[in-house]
Amino acid sequence: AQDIIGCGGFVKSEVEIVFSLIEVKLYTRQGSLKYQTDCAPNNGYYMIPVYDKGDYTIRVEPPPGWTFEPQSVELHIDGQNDLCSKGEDINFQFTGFGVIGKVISQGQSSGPAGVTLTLKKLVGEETVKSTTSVDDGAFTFERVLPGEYFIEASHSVWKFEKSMVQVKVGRETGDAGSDLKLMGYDVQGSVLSEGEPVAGVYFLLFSSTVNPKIVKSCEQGDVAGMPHREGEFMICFVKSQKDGSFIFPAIPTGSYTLVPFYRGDNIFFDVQPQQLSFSVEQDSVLFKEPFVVAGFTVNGRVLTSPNGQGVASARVLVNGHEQAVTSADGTYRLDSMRPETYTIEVQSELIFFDPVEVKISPSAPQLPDVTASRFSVCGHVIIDRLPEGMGHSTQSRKVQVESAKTGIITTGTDGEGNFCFRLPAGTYAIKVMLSSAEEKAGLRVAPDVIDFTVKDQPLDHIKFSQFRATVSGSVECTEGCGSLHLSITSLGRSEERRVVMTSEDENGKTKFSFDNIMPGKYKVNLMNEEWCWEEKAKDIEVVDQNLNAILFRQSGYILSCHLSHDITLNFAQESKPGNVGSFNLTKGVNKFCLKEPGVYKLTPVSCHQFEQETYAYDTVHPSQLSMNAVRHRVEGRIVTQESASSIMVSVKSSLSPDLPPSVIGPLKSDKDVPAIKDPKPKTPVSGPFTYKYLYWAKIGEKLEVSASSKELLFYPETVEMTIMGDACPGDVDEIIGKRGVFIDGLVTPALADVAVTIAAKGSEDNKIEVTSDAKGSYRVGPLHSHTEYDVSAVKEGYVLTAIEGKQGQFRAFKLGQISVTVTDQAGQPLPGVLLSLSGGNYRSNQVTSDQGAMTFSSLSPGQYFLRPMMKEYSFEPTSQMTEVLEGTTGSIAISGVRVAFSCYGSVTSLNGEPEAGVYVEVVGLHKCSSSQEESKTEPDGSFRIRGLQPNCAYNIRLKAGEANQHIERSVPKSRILHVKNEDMTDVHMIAFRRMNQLDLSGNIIGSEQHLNTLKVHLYRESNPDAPIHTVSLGSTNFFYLPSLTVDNQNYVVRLDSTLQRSAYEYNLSEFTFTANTTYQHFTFEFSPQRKPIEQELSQSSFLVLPITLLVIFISYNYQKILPMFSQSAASLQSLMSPSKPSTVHQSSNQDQYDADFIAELTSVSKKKGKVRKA
Amino acid sequence: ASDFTVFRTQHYDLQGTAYGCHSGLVNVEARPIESNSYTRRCVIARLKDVTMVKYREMLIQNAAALLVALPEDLQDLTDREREHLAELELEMLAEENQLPVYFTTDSHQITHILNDVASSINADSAASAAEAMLSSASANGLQMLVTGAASKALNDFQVVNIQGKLSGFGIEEQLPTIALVAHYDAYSLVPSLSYGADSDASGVVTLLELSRLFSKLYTNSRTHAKFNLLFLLSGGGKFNYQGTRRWIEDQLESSEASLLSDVHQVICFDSIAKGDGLHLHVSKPPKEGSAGHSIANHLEQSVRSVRGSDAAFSVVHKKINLAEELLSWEHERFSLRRLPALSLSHFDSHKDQKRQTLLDTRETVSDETLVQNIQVVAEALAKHIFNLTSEEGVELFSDGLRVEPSLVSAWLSHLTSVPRAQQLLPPSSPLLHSLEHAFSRHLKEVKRHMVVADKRDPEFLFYSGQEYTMSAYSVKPAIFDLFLAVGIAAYLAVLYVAVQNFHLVYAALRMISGSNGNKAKKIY
Amino acid sequence: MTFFHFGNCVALSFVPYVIVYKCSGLAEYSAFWKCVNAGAAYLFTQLCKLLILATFFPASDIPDGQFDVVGEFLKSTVDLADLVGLHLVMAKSGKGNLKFLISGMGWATSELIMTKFLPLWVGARGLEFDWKYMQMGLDSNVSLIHHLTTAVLVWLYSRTDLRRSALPVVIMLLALVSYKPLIVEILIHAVGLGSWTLLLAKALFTGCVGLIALQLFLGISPKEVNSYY
Repeated sequence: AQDIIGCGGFVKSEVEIVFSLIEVKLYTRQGSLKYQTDCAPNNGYYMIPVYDKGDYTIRVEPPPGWTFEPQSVELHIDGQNDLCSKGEDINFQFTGFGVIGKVISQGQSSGPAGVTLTLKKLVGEETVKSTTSVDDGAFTFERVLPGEYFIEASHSVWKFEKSMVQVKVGRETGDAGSDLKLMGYDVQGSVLSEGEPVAGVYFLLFSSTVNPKIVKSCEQGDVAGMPHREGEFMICFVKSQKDGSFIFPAIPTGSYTLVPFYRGDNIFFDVQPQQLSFSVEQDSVLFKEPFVVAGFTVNGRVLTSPNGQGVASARVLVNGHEQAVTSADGTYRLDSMRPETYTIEVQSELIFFDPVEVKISPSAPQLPDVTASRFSVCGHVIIDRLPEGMGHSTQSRKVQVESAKTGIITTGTDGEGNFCFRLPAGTYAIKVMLSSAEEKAGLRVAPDVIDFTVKDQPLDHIKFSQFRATVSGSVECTEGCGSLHLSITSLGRSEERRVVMTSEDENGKTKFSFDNIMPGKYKVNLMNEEWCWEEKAKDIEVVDQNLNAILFRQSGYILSCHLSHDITLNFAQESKPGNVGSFNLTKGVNKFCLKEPGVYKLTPVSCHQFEQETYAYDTVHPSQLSMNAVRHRVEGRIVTQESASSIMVSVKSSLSPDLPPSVIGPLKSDKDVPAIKDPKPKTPVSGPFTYKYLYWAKIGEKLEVSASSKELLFYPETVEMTIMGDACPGDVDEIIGKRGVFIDGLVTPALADVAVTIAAKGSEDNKIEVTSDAKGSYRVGPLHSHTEYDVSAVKEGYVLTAIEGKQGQFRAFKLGQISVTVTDQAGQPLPGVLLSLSGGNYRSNQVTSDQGAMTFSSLSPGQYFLRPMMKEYSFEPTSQMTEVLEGTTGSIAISGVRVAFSCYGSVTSLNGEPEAGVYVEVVGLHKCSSSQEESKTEPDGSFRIRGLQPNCAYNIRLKAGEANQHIERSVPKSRILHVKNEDMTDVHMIAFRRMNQLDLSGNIIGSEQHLNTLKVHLYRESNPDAPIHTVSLGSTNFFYLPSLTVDNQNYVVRLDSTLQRSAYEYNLSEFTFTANTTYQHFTFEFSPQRKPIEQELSQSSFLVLPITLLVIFISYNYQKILPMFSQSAASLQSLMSPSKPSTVHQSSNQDQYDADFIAELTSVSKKKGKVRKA
Repeated sequence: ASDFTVFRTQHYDLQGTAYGCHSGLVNVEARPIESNSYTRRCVIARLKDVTMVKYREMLIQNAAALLVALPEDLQDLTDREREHLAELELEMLAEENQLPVYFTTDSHQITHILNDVASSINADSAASAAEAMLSSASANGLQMLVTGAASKALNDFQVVNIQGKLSGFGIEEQLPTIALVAHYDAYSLVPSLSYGADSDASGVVTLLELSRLFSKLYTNSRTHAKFNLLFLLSGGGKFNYQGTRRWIEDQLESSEASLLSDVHQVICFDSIAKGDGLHLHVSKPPKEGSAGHSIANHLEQSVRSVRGSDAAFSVVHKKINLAEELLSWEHERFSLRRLPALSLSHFDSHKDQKRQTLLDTRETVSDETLVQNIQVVAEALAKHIFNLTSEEGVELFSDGLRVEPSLVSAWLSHLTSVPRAQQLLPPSSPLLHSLEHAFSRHLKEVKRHMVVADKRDPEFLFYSGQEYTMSAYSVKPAIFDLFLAVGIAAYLAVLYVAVQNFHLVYAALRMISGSNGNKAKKIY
Repeated sequence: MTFFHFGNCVALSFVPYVIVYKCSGLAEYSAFWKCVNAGAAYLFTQLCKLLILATFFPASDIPDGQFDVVGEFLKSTVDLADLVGLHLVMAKSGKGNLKFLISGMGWATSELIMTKFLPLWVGARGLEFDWKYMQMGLDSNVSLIHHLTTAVLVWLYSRTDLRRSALPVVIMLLALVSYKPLIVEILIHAVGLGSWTLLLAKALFTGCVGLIALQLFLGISPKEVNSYY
């Protein structure tokens, strides 16, 4: 039988609700109800069996008003990874009832949205939930558990008439009515004059409908000189604040008009717009457009210093464009100004002014004075020879001015080196800025700094000019220097190095010198490698005068040697025993100095063995020594608490994997006294014993050291060590020896073969299994003492609980069992019945075995609810509550009655090939037309439809639509099944796959002989000029076009002939069709008629007649015409000689023609004559 | 002088006996059938006048030729005329005779000739000799003239059989084979008018349509049955199924194993485009459980479902009578070689002459019946080869696989647009080419199998010359020329005399002119 | 019977010419060659007429149903060239009143040969018997008379001593004679004469014109007449 998947879960609720009222239903994705069940009364458990895989939704349907979380669960049951197959619970949490109510504004029936309402418990005032009112003021609270509550309304801006109401929630949704009332809404706006906020502007509120008395929140009464409006009450008025804004705190809903009113000390200002009508609905009102106050001449002065003399003809710019020029004494005037802030700038040649920010207001017509801030100062810099490094120099130099007041100001010189500054009054120091590269390159300017003061006049006489040096010294050697080379390189600058030879002067001192050095830092270097010098290189700096006392002295002879490892090298000279020493040398090439010349003996000391013990070196022939280490010493230690005599260490080397590991031992501890017979029993020597071992290893060798002994366990078992080349290989990690640990435990009451598993905490791998013996006890060991172990015991049919405190002790409870047997009416066992048992938090769903029996074992005592389920069966009793006592086995017998039947059948193709994945559906007819069942065919084409009600007529057919897209039709289309009371078997259907191929053929009726001139073109209607297929008619008048796919597009079949239209008269027909059937046949008519060959008409007109008459006339009196004609012909001859003969020729053959004719005539008549005579 | 095409009647030798008449060319005077002297005359008559008595009379008086004018539209023949034609067809083909008979379609030329001929009759039956003399002299007679090549024997004429096959699902040799056979030639008294719409254009169309439908089924692996289907369009069907006979011999004796060796069932089709039902003709009733029996059941069942429950269906059992020279059905050729075969036809008896008549033209045939019959055969065949239990309501060939009415009627009109007497279908005929082209479109290994009568005693021998042009000249009898000559001589004599004494006329004129001439002088 | 029939037709059409030739006494005056000249002239004029027709007249392809009167009229005006031809022939043949007889005779015989002989040869010898060959024969006789009368009229026209009053009559007759085929065509189309009746009509027409011409001829030359004898 198919495997039945059960989807179950719990309906949970803190508050006591009647579970039986709640139903859980299973719908298919298309929405048709598949199964419905109600919840177990005790714990709200429900279970839904699902027979077919597919998409379902489980939905909770409680009585109205109850809300659950979640409302429905989507399921895609595919047998492996959906909720039901994994056996997880699908739970629905009861979240309570609903509460509704409404907030209204004064005098209206509806209220504003956006009012926050909080639900608080009546006792204890602890807020349960809060929500906001919806657009007409209504609000709902969901998931409210039954009880006494009160609702409080609040809003950031609006004021409330009444802001609290009580509500009680019983068995259904609570209703708070609509007595929360708002006093009114705020109305705000602002007033500006020239963009500046204006205070003290009155705003009067008039309304024709609203009664002024109900408005409480703003002053009422009259304002002096305010305007009146007839027919409207002045509700109240408000003044604008300093920031220009005004606010009416609470205005009830209605239509109003607002009037602004502003009076200066003695002048009136008009405010735009004069009045503004608006209406207040359910929300606060904000006037976006600010009100605007509607504008007089100002003058000022320009001075060189606060009370100095005025600056003549300076230009005055207002907000960027020039409006005035100062007069001789520096005064100017600006007119038609509005009360705003302006920026005023003054410009003149050598004097500079800062822009001034001025605020003009009607009260202050006089502008503040504008004083000069800066004066212009100019000068000149001359540099004639640039240092080599600076191949190209930037033409413009930087010049820097410094003063206490203004700080450092820099400017650049122009092409010729001139520069100018704009300086306020004060004393200044000026210097030429040389870049660090220039200074390094040795560029100096003289003088460095020039000081000057600026009072109130511009200056222009500052001037700057360029500095070069030579470097020399001597060299001292222990035995004759010979010729040495010295080099000088500049630091910083990238000049090329200069090398010079030493020379002997008269008293044998070796000397050297360099000249023409630019100022800057240099490095003098002695180029000699064999000898040691006190100083090989000296740094010098040329500032502004020459250097001549540079001295180099020799300190010894260089020995260089190449080492493979760090060592300490001892050297001793045979010739001079006192000259002995040692050097610490590192890996690689080392160089060090030997004071005396001669032969030395060198011995390396380290943890490495070298090729030779000692090496020899002679200073006369300097050469590079090389020393390579061959082996390295490796040491290791083992520490134990107790002394053990049998510790063996085995070292496995990676270089010789096949050789047996070399075994060292038995090791002696440091405390072992050499085994001398000692009669008195030794006091047990206590304290840690350490055992050492030693091993020579090559470079790159990998060692595996493991220790073993009888009594001890070693942690870690094995230690690995790889020998690196350079440093002395350190010790192998320390190995610790420890005594073993044993674990033993007991099961009470005594229970044999309880499976006990001991596993180290956390590590899953080395679990140890042991079974308890008859007395229920067990022992495990030796184990590592330092890890924690957890012990668990399991036995079928028993519950084993660990006893706290004692590890490994367990108490056993025998569990209860329930055995269920299910039989059908005939008493035979009924396999495949789904039994769902649930109690407390235990639940299990099992399917009865072939014997129709099922035992639920290991049930802890308690109340259990059993429900049998199987499609097509109804059971007696339908569900059962049983009590399980500790250790007892309850048994339940259930009998099932076959209620519905199923239909077996198969869907194959025409030749018997099974059609898998086809949906077969069964729809009830007449009285049971509500039920619909369907199922999908198995890979072998068979299907089984379950749940057919007895003595019902069903119509079985292949499901149309999306499911069976690839099936075109089935034979038979559908069949009527009359369900008696047994299953229907072998309902065989043949399914035809969709043929998506359209074959095309056609024939031509008409003349046979023109067949081979015909061609048939197939076009797609969308592009009629590119034929898809073209078939030419051979000798037969049937043609076949390659087949198309059925794609519902329009096609055109057109006949085409190569007969010339001129010779034949024919018409070509065409057919258009849509490719939606599987075969199309076209019959074309083609009967070309040959066109009658009409003679060509000789177009001669009647004009010809007069011409002939003329000809006749000429020929008639030709005597006169002829001489004139021949004369003109001669003159023409010379011109067109070629043309004349042809015409003559033509005419001649004309006459000749006549002659023949006549001759022939006469001959004929002669003949006839003869005939007649005969 | 009007000329028109005429068609000669059948003229062939079949298995030794000759049929039709040898001589062909005619150049004699025409006589209507009413006149009682026929010797060396060409008798012209309308079909309804040609009675058996008259025909025998002509034979006795050995008339030179007989021209029968068939009515314009063969359909509106009265029943009597149909009987006439039937009797004529029987009689004329009974045995060899010397009277060349020509058929032509009635047209105004023919009626005109008939009137002339009728008028010349009274010359014979005139009251007195003088009158007869005069009328025979003056009456203008009609000279009938048939020119062209005389008909000669077409020895080693090649009859063509076209075969194709659809191999079943699995190894071809082990699968059972079902052969579908239909002869494509037609036969009637006049080879050039034998269109044979029902007697076996319908069979050919059935084979073409079945080949199309089953090739569509066999291309798809899910609907590929375990049966080989063999299609054969046999020639010489109307000449005692010579094509089929030779084809069977070649297939059975041929070296490599041909499909025919273990044929499961042979089904022949002969005229299934008319009538109200189908009849199954077998040489011996099919045994229970044999293929023939199951096909018969399926056929009966699908006739009921497609043609309606009242359609007629019966299995006709007719033993092969070896004494008879001509076989009655094509399946008998197969039965002679002990191959299970049956023929499907709407005729319930083989004696029906309508299988060899002129009247079997395109209009008499109903496309609707043919389409339904094709579907009946297709359903039965499909149910047999897919061995489906045929409960009612199972209709396999619909929607995608339905029988295409437009294609069926197109083929039917194409086949009947050309006379299909075997003599007119040499291997090069375009009709055979189009049939082969259609087969090669749907089937595999489409081959032509040539059948030639063997040299020593040819089973069949055809003759050329089926169509001639006859011209009728109106002629005056010789005496008439004599009279004419006398008349002219008299006229000339008178003229001579008149010219001789022209001067008398001259004088007479002068007198008149003299009298008025004086007057004239006086006037001028 | 075919060749026999051919013989009849030839006899019917040619023998009267011979009779007229013999009986009118032309034989004696060795006018034979003159007749041949007249025949040649006839041919030449026919050629000229054809040339004129071909070059000058647009071959208008009127459907043969209607009858294009204007075209036909123009075509028959070309027939006037025959008169000119006759006139020229007569001018050359000298010898008094025999001129018209010789030229008429020659003209008629050559026309007969040219137009009638070939169809007779082809048609009459065929199997098919048809009355139209007989009609052709009679028609040739009529056309003989027709040509003689035209010759007379032309001669009369060219006579100086013709009575003034008779000149218009002669011209009218000449016109009638030359337009005869036109008139015949009109008769066929308008009245729809049968073949035999048409022949009769032609005969009558030619007869009366002939008589009138004869009368005129007699009217003017009483003395020549005697010489005629």
